[in-house]
Amino acid sequence: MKKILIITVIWFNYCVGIYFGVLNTIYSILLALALFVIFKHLRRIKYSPYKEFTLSPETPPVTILIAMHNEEGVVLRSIRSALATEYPFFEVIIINDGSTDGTLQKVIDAFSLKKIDRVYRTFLKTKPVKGFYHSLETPNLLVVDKERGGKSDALNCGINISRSPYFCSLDADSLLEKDALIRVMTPLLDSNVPVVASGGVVRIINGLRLTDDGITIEKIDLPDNTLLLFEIVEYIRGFLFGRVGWDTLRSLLILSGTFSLFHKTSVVEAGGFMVGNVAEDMEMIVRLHRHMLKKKKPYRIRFVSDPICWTEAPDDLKMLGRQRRRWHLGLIQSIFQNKEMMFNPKFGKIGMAVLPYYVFFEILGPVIEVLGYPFVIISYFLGILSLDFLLLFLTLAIFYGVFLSTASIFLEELTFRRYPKWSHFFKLLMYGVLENFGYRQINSFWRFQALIQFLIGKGEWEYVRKKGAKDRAEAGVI
Amino acid sequence: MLDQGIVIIIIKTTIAVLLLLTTVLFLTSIIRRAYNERKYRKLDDLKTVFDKKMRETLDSGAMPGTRSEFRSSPRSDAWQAIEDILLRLINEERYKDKVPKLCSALGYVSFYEKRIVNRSVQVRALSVDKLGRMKSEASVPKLIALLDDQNPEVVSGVVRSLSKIGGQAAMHGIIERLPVLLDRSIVTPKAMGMALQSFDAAAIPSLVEQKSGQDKLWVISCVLDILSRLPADPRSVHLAAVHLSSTNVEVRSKALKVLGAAGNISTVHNLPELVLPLLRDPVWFVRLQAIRSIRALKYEAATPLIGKLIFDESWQVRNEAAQALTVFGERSLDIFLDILTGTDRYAKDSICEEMEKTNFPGRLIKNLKVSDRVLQKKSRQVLELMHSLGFSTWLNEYLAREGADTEKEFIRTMMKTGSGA
Repeated sequence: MKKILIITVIWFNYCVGIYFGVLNTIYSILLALALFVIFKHLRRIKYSPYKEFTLSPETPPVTILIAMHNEEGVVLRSIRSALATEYPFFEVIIINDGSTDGTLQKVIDAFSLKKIDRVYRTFLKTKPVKGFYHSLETPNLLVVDKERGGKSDALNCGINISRSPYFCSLDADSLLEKDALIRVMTPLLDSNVPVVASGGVVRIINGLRLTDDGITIEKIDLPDNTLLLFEIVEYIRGFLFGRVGWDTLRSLLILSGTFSLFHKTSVVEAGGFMVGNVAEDMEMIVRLHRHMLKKKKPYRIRFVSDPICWTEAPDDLKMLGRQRRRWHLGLIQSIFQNKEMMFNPKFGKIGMAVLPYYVFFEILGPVIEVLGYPFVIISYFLGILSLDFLLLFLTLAIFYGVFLSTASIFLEELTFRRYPKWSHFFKLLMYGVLENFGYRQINSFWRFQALIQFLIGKGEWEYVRKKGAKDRAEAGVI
Repeated sequence: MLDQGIVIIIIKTTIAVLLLLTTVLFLTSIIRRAYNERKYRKLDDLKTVFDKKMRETLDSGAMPGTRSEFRSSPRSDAWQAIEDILLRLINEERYKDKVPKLCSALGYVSFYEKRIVNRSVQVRALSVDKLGRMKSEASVPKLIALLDDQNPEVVSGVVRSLSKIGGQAAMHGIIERLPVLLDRSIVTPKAMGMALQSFDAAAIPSLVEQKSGQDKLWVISCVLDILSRLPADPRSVHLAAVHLSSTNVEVRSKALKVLGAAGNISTVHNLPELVLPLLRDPVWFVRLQAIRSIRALKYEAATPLIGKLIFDESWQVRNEAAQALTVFGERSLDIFLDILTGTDRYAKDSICEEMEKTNFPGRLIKNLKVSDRVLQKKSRQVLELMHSLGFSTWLNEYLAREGADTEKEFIRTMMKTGSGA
């Protein structure tokens, strides 16, 4: 009996080692691809016609959809930044999703909006709309007041109203760089294959200094909060090498709902955003793949590494935990709701390789990580494992993590270099090393919790409170 | 079980490789940052100096190309600084004629012309872009030859650059190869359209007359699409009219688009009669374009037919029909009344919404005091029906205006009782 137990323990330890080994290999491939592709993209930007697209009547109109629920502190900044976008034809639709604070009134007052009669037609079923607000002074702004139905429901409502062939979903606490929309649209205009969705980079706004108009970045700085610094490193890694790598492999499964562009007809045909899913952005992308592959029509889902949207990140552990649990739960829900695609050759590499990767490494990964660390260390102290194996485990789990984190900082430094000071570089590098000693493990624990939540059927939206721009804007810092 | 020796080798190798990579990346980042900081500081200084000198020289009427201080070796900082200044000055009205000559005299044109045959796609594309931005007319033949390149990135760049340089040769170069480029999907129709738009009306004769590719429906559809974006021209209308009866949906739709964009410029006999059957086309986007064309042709006799499209199965067609009817104004009043007293709520809402968007209720309110009793009555009925459907914003706003008149009295009564009578 004891022998069987020891063999089981040893084999579990081997599984942990193999898991980290394979995961690190995949990450290394993504990193190498990202390095190559980003350098190529940067050279291409020099002759990219995106500036000509800004002036061209050929550029298709876009609707920017901002769903808001109790966003009183940040909503005006988001609307103003969306309206300041440099794009030939666009409208901004704000969907007030049953806010109980002064969000709606604040927008009405700030833009002198008046209630208007407008017919609401539901191609996608949503909660009832209570009213429309518009002003001739800002003709490309429309505010819709509706009953609370969640973010997906609000976005579906915006899609119903939108008159443009494309729409861009933008979070209410975000700040869009002026050329971000045209840059994210460029792959659609350049491509001979229809692009049904395209996403840009999301970066953390905390720490930035804005100009008096509140929508232009005056100075890029790093926040003092340790947690935010870890998050910045994490965002750089996720967006700069994760998504670029998956995009190169034409296997993107995630675009951030904070800032993504969609082809409206494709989204409507796919059934719109799924109400009840806590990560509507990811679910939408998976369903778009499913829909297009079923139709057997050529399509692309793109990620572009230069358009930037700045967004607010949670600055305390409790809120960050809620956010991460929600993200992971959304990932599980999205894959579970599209399980028909798993190992189904009809869905090509998405069904045969990408979804299985997400299940085994992203969904079940936290189980291995949370149990693996104590298991391997205890096994060593009980004499079941040798010191060599322990070192191998630490090399793969920790040391390789340090390499990947720092490599993404180097990638940022060698390419976009949005953090200009020498001190920024060294600080980010330091946090890139440190995040592997605690922060990453806490993240795994939150993801593990999300998996448990899913298994016990507790899949609800955990509200993440963000401090908003209001107080810090008064101090000149966001 | 893994052999202990192998484990040690794996650990050592992994750590060594990672350490080596980290060190390389770290050093590269540091060196690159330091190098770039120094380089860009120097470039900024050089740009400030050269910008002043260049402007002074150009303003004095002299040709800076003859002065040694502006000559530098390619890839030097001074070379890059001067190039940046030239590309900035070329966009200023007073220097736009001199700068292209200067780019040639200082050797930039020949430098980039050599590079357009480079093996690297990116070098070729970047050089092509630079020649276009320098508006180098002398490079047009070389650029046209590059339209035969197999790389879409390079060819798209060539098309854009030729459009920036402008002139007959550049335009003909593009149009001659247009069918092949579009057919082989080397350039997107959008990119082609954008490029040809800069030639304005000058591109129309060549586009209309070019014969190659006429056997390919896809090419014809692209040509028509491009023509619809160029200024209205009788020749475009004539070509579109020929293709109205095409068997291809895209071609019919694009032909209608040309007519819609052309307004009532028409040299074709009975053009509205050619368009009318397309209001019953089986494909929704053809019907939609047909409505737009009828609207542009101001063919009001088609009002009853468009009225029927208010009940079309496609919402886009229904919306377009509602818009067209409001544009036809009083002629559509009978149709409005028919729809508003009918049972189709969608159609009623569409009409009311479009009327509000086009400020039609303002016209209806004015009609309340016209001498034409029939028109007055119909206008009143439409306003009453709109109010009963909840479209009262116009009425409320009218009441909020200063002054008292009989229309206000009518509106007040109507809003209280549901009828102004």
